[in-house]
Amino acid sequence: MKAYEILEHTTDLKIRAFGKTKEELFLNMLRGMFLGAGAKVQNKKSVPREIKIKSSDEQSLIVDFLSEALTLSDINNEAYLEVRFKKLIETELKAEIFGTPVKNFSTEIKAVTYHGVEIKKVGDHWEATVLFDI
Amino acid sequence: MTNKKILKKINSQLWEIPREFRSDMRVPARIYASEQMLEKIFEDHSVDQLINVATLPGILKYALAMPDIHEGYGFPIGGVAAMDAKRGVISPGGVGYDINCGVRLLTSSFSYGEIAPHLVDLANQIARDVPSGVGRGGKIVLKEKDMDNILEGGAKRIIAQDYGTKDDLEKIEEGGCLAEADASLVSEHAKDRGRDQLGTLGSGNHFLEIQRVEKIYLPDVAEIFGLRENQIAVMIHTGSRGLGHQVATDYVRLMNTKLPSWKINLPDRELACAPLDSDEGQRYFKAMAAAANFAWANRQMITDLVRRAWEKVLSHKLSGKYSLSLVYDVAHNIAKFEEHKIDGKKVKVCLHRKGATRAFGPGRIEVPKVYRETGQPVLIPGSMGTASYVMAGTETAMAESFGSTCHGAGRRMSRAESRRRVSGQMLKKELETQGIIVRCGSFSGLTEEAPLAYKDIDEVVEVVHRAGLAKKVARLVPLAVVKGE
Repeated sequence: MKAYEILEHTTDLKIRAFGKTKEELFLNMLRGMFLGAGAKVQNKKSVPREIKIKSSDEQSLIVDFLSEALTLSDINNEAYLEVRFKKLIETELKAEIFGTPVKNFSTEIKAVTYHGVEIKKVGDHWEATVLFDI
Repeated sequence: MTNKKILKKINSQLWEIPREFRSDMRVPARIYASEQMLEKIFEDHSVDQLINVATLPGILKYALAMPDIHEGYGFPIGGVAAMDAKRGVISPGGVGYDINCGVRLLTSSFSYGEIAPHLVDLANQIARDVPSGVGRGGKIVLKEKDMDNILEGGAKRIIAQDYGTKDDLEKIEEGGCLAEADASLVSEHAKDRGRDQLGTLGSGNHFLEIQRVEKIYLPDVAEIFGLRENQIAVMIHTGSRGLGHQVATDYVRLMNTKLPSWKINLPDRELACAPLDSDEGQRYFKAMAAAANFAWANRQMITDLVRRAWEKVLSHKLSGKYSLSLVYDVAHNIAKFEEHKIDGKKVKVCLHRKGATRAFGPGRIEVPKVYRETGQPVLIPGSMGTASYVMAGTETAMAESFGSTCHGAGRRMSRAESRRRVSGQMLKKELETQGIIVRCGSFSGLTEEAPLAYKDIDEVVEVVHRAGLAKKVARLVPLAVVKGE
């Protein structure tokens, strides 16, 4: 099973991610976002950042999680490619995301959108699709 | 997905989807386009998105799409919607994530022949002095108080600090400052994202071009706009950077959680909106106004950097005036309160323009005095390497499109497809063969913005010109392009 794939979209960046567990799904979508934006990471030690999110439903939770990571990335000039989840339920998550300093990104993601967001269990694995405004 | 059979022809530039097409539509939807353009328009979901806009509470007359319409999130890009100021809603999706993305045009006193030998030096100096690319900050890092002052004072504040002239201020839409802005309603996250982004271009389709006025269509109007054939101009296209993106993100999130309490059902979550008379609706408007002010300050700061680069390069080489005069600065992603005539009555509306430019005609008090007889200058940037236009707002636009017109070429191909089809090196070579100097952070950034990824700007402009939404005044062609990755 691949971690994520980039889907065709006229203006924006659309990513479908996969995971055996929901934690793996969230992690793969996070990696898809930063690697899809062409993050060129530096060979430096990563910095843990604490995040806590509460959302109204599961779809919002994944969007809000990615939005928070995107915001921290813009402020700290980091890419987040590792996560340690402390809590992940349908409408809430607590986690440490690990930021690696980046040299630059090839694409600027302006925002994570709720447009057509999907999160579902397909057979024995999880799948999610998110559209990013670039 | 819908197809063009649903359209009723109004005239050769205007098509309507009747209100009866879908039961939840409150008003019809109208599309400005030539018959040839329609096929392409229906290739993505933009028309479905336009129909969704027509379902929003308080929408008046019709939901409009300009010929550069393409798929966005929530609203299509190239969309215009007037909401009743009392009973309507305000939607961050109707403004876009890049709040007050916009364009300004500066003109030089020099002609092409005089500048041609110095173009490479000018492009290099500007590329060095104006930070561009993802995450690349500027030299100024705004402390808390300074940030709040910019958010509430916009270009006015920056000009008071000597980054421009009084004349500049008069030639910016809204005088470069929406007075309703409230910095306390902008989150710390948003302020942190914007702290080092004042005076930065960003990336994607944002650019800075040195252009040549290739053709004048209306000499009398062009003279008032300060344009003449073969003149050198500088166009700046950027917005509110990460700060604006965060304001939109924060309020889409907030409104999504509140929708059930307002009993608003939406066909798409990115249409998230709030009643204009609600606390949340008012807070978003004031925060959006603050982000819009940040964008005007950003374009003003870039103008100052360009003027300094201009003088640095030319002062030892040419005698004459090195100054660059501002023609106008327009927003093409914004919501504002405006008064429009609907069914013969003056009505206050919250006008959403997402990928659409204000095109106020003669006589409107919002237009600077110097342009009040001609209608406001409307700046339509082309895609990289293609022509841009200066147009003038019209009375027809006031009557038909809430004083609005198109904003650019409009994307028609995905960035991935563009990357597959075009080689960055080849494209750079091709542009340079056409005499266009390119200073771009990366080849991939270049290929994503390749001209073939966009609609034909000439065709888009022709539609709004024929429809009377704006009149062609001048056509400008690029000589040098500076952009981030």
